[in-house]
Amino acid sequence: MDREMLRRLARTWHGIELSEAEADGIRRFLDSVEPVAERESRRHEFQDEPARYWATLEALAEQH
Amino acid sequence: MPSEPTHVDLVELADQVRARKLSAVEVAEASLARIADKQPELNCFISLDADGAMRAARAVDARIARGEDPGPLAGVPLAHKDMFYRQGRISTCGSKIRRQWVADNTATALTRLDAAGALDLGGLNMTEFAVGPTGHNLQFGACRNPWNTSHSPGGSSAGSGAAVAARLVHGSLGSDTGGSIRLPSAFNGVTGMKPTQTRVSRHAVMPLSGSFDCVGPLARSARDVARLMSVLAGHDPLDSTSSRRPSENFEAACELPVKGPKVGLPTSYYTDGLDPALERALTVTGKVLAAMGCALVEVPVPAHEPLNMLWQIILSAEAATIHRRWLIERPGDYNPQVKRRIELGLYLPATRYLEAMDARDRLTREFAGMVFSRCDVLLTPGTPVPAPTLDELDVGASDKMPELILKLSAFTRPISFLGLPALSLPCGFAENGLPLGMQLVGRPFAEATLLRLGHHYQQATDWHRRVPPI
Repeated sequence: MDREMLRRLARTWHGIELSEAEADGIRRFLDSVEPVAERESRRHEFQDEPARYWATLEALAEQH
Repeated sequence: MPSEPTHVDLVELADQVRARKLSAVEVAEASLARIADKQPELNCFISLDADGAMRAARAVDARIARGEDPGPLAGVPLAHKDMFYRQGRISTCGSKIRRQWVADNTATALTRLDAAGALDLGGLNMTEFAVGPTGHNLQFGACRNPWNTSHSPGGSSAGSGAAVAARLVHGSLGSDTGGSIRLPSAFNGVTGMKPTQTRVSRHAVMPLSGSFDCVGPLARSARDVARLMSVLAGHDPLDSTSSRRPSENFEAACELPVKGPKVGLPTSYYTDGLDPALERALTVTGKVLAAMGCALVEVPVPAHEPLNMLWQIILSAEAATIHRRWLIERPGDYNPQVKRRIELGLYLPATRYLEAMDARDRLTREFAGMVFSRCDVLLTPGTPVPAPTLDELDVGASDKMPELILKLSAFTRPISFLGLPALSLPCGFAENGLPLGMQLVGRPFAEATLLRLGHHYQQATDWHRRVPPI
């Protein structure tokens, strides 16, 4: 996402006016997480569901 | 001066009060006097409630005089990160925005500690809105590390770590979203527990990220933490997300023998960029554990980059949701670094957030499959380095910030993503006299196992008994 796109999003979605420096800082962060996020998204399965995590915690719990 | 009430361990102190060897009033007066003496140097407290503490102390003594059970924390001076609400009291959350905000309800964690006879001495310094591992606070001033006041106490539960280490209080509640209990524990040489996600109620506690926020205690030893955990853990009807598992007698679990658990030593990631002093300390720790009868096994761990990056996505999205109104209306009232870290979430697609949430299940199963098939407990460093100076960490919202924060929380953040319990323990000292910390990570709800191992380790070592030279 480029600086101008980010500034437009800030204005449109949130009514926030970002300076160029602020937009650049945010953009650099988004750029840093995006490759991993995209890679992980390709492992996403049709039936995935966040609540499964809680069942997994119970399933992996230490057995006394 | 080990016989001073301020220097007696939490468990021993409570037992002495219960046995009428010390009065709760004497104990409270000793803590308040020490706080008055050390606060100018350390800046641990945002607010002090001396009157409330003395009232509670007199009530404990009165219960004992009537022959009633005063509770397992009778007369124990505690103080908590200033984000645990108490009805009628200001909870600043370390922020300008909530500097005068008065809570209209009380955290279940505080209610349980009150019922157990503990004294609440006040609100402790913290990173603004619990966002950040460095201990800086622009509103209330930086909290300082009692081992060397030019160094960071860690964050975000900065005052909790420093106050416990400096013997101002015997224990403290912190919150941990990516390391905020474990980092101050490591930097200040105290023992702290991030429980399994949902293990301790979060009712009436400032939220940051509902998926990762955990409440847990910091104290001087695993046994002290165990007594606090026995009071804190367990389902809370006021927190629908809290686990239905009943609490346990964690202190009794500490006294059980250690029966040859397998302790995993990671072969990658947790060895990267490690300070040589920590490497040496962990080698010695391995020998201590082996002498205790533990079997040390090398354990490969899965790639941690997804854990770190997806943690960041979830944290930013959830924090931005909570803070959006203030980010729009009061942007100038935030510390620039805190604002930057939160506002990132305003620009993430909802699909990225939900993909990260979905991945949590898969990545937790992968981690458990690789790690807990080979060992019972994973031993890692708590941080890659001992506490840097406050000046070294004063990077604001500059481009250095993301890398620095990731470095400090590199070993704690992935465990938060997975939601696993972890116990932070002191394991030595660097050449400059600052404490070194390690982390024991267990299966979900294995708090008793971690505390037992930690307690036995502390029976064989004395790192946790060292007192800062202030």
